[in-house]
Amino acid sequence: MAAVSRFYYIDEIDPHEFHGYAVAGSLYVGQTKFQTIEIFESPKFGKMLILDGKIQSAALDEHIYHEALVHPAMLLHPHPRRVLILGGGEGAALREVLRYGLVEEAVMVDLDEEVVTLCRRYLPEWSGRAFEDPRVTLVCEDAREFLQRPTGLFDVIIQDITDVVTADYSEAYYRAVHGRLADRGILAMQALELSLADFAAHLRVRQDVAMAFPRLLSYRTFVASFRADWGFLLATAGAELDPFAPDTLVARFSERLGPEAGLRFYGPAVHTAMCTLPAELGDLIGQKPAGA
Amino acid sequence: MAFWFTEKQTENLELNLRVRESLLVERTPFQQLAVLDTYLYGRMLVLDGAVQTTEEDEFVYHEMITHVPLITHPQPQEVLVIGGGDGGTVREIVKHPEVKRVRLVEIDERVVAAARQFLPGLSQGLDDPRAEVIITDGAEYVRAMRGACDVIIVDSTDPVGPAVKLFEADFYRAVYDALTPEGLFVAQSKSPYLDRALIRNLLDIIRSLFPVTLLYTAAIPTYPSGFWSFVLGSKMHHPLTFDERRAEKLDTRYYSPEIHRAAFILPRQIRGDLFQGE
Repeated sequence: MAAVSRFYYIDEIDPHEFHGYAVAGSLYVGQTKFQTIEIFESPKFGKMLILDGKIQSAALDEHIYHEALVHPAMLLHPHPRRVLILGGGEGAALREVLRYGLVEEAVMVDLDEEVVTLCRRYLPEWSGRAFEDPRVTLVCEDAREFLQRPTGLFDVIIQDITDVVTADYSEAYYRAVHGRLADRGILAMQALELSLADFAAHLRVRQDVAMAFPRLLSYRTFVASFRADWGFLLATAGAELDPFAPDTLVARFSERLGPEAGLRFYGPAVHTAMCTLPAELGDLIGQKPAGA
Repeated sequence: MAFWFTEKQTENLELNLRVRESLLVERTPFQQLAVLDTYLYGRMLVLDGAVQTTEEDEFVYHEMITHVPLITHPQPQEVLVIGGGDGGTVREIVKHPEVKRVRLVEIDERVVAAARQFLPGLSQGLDDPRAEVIITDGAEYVRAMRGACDVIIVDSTDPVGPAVKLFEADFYRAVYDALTPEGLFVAQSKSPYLDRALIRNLLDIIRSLFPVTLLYTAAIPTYPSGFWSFVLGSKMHHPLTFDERRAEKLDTRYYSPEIHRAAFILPRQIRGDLFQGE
């Protein structure tokens, strides 16, 4: 689909940078109870989802983002049976979690039911058949409120929330997340751009999380539709956040996912690459290289 | 952050409009066609990347391209529009009770269909029983007419793509022949600030055919430079001799008898440049 000449979605990164995405047409534009939602077709990146003016994911490479977000935590954990997803309205993080036969229950908590419904209608490839899986419970509620309710403990918590640099996601919030993790539980979360040009927001989130979690690991991968190296964080409740011995990683990958899993991006070599930060960047965010 | 449409108006000038959503995007056999919903000007028709008309400012263009020639002619009964598939010009033409028949000759039927679907405020004129839409090449169509039209309105896109020949001498000779002995025509002729050479060339062509050749202007916010011109060629009637009572009766937002007169008064530099010795 060709774009209208010179019709762009302009993403203002900050006062010093913007990205322009050519637009071939709008698919849906509206306002939910909580946020604006825009879905459009880009000739280069395919369908793109925007919430409150922030790009969430694009057809071309949502798999990269969601595989990078979900699989490191799911493989690090010795037996991820009960998984909680905070945010992730597209249903793609859920899709990745459900690849694991080990998973007995997946609870997805998203504030905005309309976003979930619109994504299922306009971006059905994102969730596939995830919402029909009997292991899934969808709760439409604010994550902060959900965390205050007695809903049991989780082995893995995946946080796919955009606005993580606001006062809502403070030490108290991450203590609440910590409180919902079982022994050896792992938190994995999206944590904004992580590059030499933009690391300050990631660092701030990392410091917020560090108030509640003693051990954490920043990793990153390039997400083409964001035009950026994207950062993620792993944090553990108590146990060591063990950087994998390479053969453990390979063994768990083939045991739990294997070639039939149909992953397009993630694998043991990519895992190692994502967790390897250039020394300069590691210094800037205070992360020592593995084995140091 | 936001959707922005940019029209590259010249090598050195762009117009940016913030867009709520796109309503239609397609490639027709003739051009790229889009209807975008803008925050400032409402729905906007875009052909090959150039703004054709918007809901908020279309009235200026459509009233001025229509009422000046139709009021200049004392009895405009047969009117021909070349281009103008959005229907805005026809909507203005059918306000004149003297008009018996309007033929709109549009080369791209998708433009008419898009206007009927998304710009009903413009296309409504096409439903008038006196109006007839003919989908064919306007330049060819006019060539087949002889002394049949009282007024011809050339409501074309700019001289790129399908409209190139609507800016050539051959076409205006055919327009001349298609008009009655009292007939006159008007064509949009771009910006007096940005397109002086094009206007000069058009005026030269028209002067060689019509005893009355004039330029008039209007302020149209979404067109390049905001200051727009129309060329008028008339076999007999002079536009500054007209029936004010007829002009006064029209239901308009921009056009009035005073505007009709004022539109022909050109800034000194432009007049000096285009009408030396007149």
